[in-house]
Order: sequence, then C-alpha cells, then structure tokens
Amino acid sequence: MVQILLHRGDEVMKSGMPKPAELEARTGTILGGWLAPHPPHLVYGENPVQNEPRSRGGWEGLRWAYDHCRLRIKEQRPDVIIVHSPHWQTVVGHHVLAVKHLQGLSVDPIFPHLFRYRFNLEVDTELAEAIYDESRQCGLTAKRMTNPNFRVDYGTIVSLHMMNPTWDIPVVAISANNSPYFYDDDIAQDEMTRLGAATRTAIEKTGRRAVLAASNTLSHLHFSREPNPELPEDMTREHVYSQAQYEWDMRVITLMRSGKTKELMAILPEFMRETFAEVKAGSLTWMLSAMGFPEIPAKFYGYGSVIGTGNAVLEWDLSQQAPGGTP
Amino acid sequence: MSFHYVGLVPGLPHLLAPRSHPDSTALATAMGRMGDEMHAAGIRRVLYFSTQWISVLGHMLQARPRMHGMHVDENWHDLQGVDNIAYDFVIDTEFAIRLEQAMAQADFSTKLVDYEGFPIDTGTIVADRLLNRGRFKTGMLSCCVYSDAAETERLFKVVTEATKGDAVPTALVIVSGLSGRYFTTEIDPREDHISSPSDDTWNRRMLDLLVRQQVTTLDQVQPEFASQCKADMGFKALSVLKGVGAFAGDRTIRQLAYGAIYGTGAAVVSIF
Repeated sequence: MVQILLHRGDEVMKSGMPKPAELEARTGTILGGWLAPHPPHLVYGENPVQNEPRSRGGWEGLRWAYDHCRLRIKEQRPDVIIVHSPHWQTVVGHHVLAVKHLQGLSVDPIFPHLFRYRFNLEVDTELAEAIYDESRQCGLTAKRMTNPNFRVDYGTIVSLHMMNPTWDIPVVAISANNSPYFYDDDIAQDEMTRLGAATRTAIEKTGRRAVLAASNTLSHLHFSREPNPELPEDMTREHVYSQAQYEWDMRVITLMRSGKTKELMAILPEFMRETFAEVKAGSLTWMLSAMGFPEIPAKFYGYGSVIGTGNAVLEWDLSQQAPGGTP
Repeated sequence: MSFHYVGLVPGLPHLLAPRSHPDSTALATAMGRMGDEMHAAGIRRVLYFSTQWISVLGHMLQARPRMHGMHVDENWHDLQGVDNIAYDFVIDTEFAIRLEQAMAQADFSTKLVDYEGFPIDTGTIVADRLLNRGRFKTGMLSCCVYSDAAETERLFKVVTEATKGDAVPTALVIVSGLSGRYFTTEIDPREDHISSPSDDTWNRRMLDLLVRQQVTTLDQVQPEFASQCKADMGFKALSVLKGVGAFAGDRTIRQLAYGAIYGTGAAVVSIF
C-alpha cells in the first residue's frame, strides 16, 4: 500500500519538474520560508500510512497549522523544498544530501515508539551540488552525502512530511554543523549566515523556485519523563515547560510577526541561553540569511507544546517579490 | 564489583578504516586484545554503554533479540572502507528486562526498545566489531544526556547490583572518548594528532590518575577536564566507573592504548 502511494507520488513529481531549458532561462528565486518544527509527535498524531505506530491524534493545534503550509505549497508549486535539520548533526562541515533517490526506514532513536517512518524521497541533486559548490566558494567546509544507504534523520522527514505529505516535490536536506556547540555563538551564526547566502546563490544560479524550511523548535527545555507512557497523545498532560519559557517564545514570535528581523537576530543568543532554544542549531539563521533577513511580517499559523517544548509554524512569504511567483 | 571485566574504549569509525593513522591502528589492536582477554576470562556477555547512544527521557535498553544490517554514520558516510559498516548483535533480552526492572524499581525512567530498524549508534557498532567477533551475547544501555554525575553513579550501582549472582560472566564496556575537540575541516588521516597540546596533557593526566586509582583527585579535576577539553559527554565515564566499583581497591586498571582520532583523545583501558 505504501509503495503504491509513493510510486504515484514519484510520477506526479517527474511530470511536474521543470525541464532543464526552462530552468536555464530564468533566475531562481526563494518563494518563502517556513519555521517548520519537527517533533515526531506531529507525524504520530496524524497517522500517515508511512508511519507504523498508530495514535488517537493529539497536538492538533500544531498539526493543523501545517495545513496552511500544505495549501501554500500546492498553490506555489515550487521546484524544490530545502530543509536544514538539527537532527542531522555533522562535525566536519555542512553536509548536503546529494543522492538522487533515498528510501528506507527511519526510526527516531529518542521516540522509537512514535516514529518508525518508511521514507521514499527524490533529491534535487543538481541544486544540492550547487549548494555544495557555493558553500565551498564562500570558505565553508562542505561535503556531499552520496551514500545511497544513508538513513535520513527524523527532523528532516517530519518537517518535510508535515509540509508536503505527498512527497511530490524534490527536496534538498542540509545538515546542522555542530559549530554552534563547538565555537561561540558569533562564529556559529556567522557560519550559518554564510551557508544561507551560499544556498541563495545556488538557487539563483540553478533557476529553481524554492521554498525553505528551518526545522526548528523554539524553546527546548522539556519534561524529563514521558508524561503518560501508556498514552503519549494524552493532551491532559501536555503543557508549556515553564511560564518563563512560554514568555520567551511569545517575545520571539512577536518579533517575527512584526517583521523586526534585526531585533530578532539580536536577541537570539539570549533566547538560546535562557530556553536552550533549538534555533541554536542554526536552521533559522540559515533560512533568514538565504532570504536576505527580510524585514517583513511573518504569518503566524500556530503554536503548541510538545513534551513541554515550544513550537510554532510561521511563514515568511516572499512570493510577491518573486519573478513568476504566485501572488 | 559484580561485572567480571570493565573496559573503556573509543567508538569512532576510523578504528575500522583499512588505511588509517598509526594511533587508530594501535587503539583498534588494543581493543581486539581486550576482546581476547575477555574471552579468555570466561566472559559470555557484554553490556555496552555508549555516549553516542543518547536518550533524553530517561534510559533505554535494547531488547530486540537480533539486530543486524548495514550502518552508515551521519558524519563519516564517505570514510574509505567504512562507509557501510556491517553489524550483527545477539541481544540477551532476558538480561535487558532484568536490568530494566531493577532500574525502574530504583525510580529511574526506563524504556525497553524492540524495533526493526532502530538506529544503533556508531560507537556500539565499532566497539562490538573489534571486541566481539561473534563470541559474546550483548546488551545496550543508553546514555541519558540529563543524567548528572551523581545520578549516573547511582544508576550503575543499581545495574551492578542487578548483575550480582548472575550465572553468566558479564563485562561492561563504556564506549567514550576523552578530549572531544575534533578537527572541523578535512585532514589527511596520516597527519592526525590530538588537536590541542593542552588536551593531550589533560588526557594523559586523567589516564595517569585513572590507572593509579586516584579517585578523589579525579573527582576534583573532572569538571575542569570536561570544560577545558570538551570531554566526551563531560567524561561521564568516570561516574560509571565509580558506580560499578572500579576503584574499590581489588582491581587492576591498565591503559592498553592512547592516541588521537580526528583530533579527539581516545584510550583503551581495562579494569579487571
């Protein structure tokens, strides 16, 4: 059943892909970017055919927030979705998936009872190669991931599934280099800023119409025990970890909603320290940099806690600026 | 100490690479020798505690009877000769259940995992490839990142207690590095070395204290070692060793090898 559905998705994708000549004729552009958190609970709560565990639902506020993203993606029909995931951690450089086709079983090592997902995805390898080249051009250490047996991490899969569950658009996944945890915040954010710029150049040069995804939770302090192991989707046991963490999340979201990107970037280091925020992994900085740190209001679609962490789905819609983009 | 043998070993895939630095070769050889020594001592089961199998909601124990397949490391997916690492584990499920019950009774948050495709960490796979060679049944216990020194020591006291009277001679193998300062760019493997002279000095000092069983001093300097050298998981290995009674005075601690793996510090240490 899974194979049949995914195969149909492959056909849709191939028919919808732009021809090389079309791509050459245009300058690529970024249609928009999404803060696309990746708790595996969201896939678990939805019960898609690819995921083995079954649930009674849960975390609807966040899951339904993603409906807006799914709709926008259907409207925009981007050539590619590019995701930066904190759960593909690399110590030597920034790695880019560069295998045409990847499939397999991805089991979350933290929540294996919730996430055992049979993935089957197509990678835009030309763009992946371009991101690799541009990253190296701007002085970053970068690597192509060309091993066909590679198991794609759950952060990448959850964000991409929640954005586009039919998987009918090619993807590129970029690892989270651990520089934020190795150096100080300034050096780390500078790396991610350069990676974002390199990504943007690669998109422009290859003529792609791209949507970006920062696969980040916001505040990241969480419960140390699963609240109800018998029923993980017991929503009576789900709540924010602390009022302080909640207030930090709201402060950050308010800056995003009001388009105060410079102020947002200025308080990120403090946000990371105070709430152990997962944005430290660099996904948000990478995405905002690729989009040129736009001072435009992000559209807010939902906020919710998952085992106490703070998660929000927001969109930076650049499509009106994009040649050929959907208004 | 109810574990018949305790080992501290590194777990980076460079140890399996056919053409690597002499340090890696020496470390791998020492791990092979450790496996032989364990076998000669009658060990029939190995419990792995790898700092690369991290958990956040308490501790996990592997409970799937057989785990086999091909592993690709998320960092070293293109490392020559070890881009795909075959593994084959026979898990002693009853042992895992017994440990889990003992841990739960001691109020630890625990979970048995028994899932096809569960991603076994690189450290456990590398260690098993070099030590086991099909000779021992195995167990795996995760490393909870939020478990501090005191809780880790208490955990391993509980685990040790649970293995007392066990008819199956069992070894505990801690898979952990020392200093954790990787090179962050590509290097020629032939030029590998500890990335900072200060880290090298610290590693040697910690190993010397370990071999001389100077546990009070180790306790005092461990926080500084952890912060100065980005020690692997804060050198939680020390708390494990204390928990299993490695410094009780009736054991011999030997350093079998020490060297660099991609800039980090690594050692093979036996407690027997």
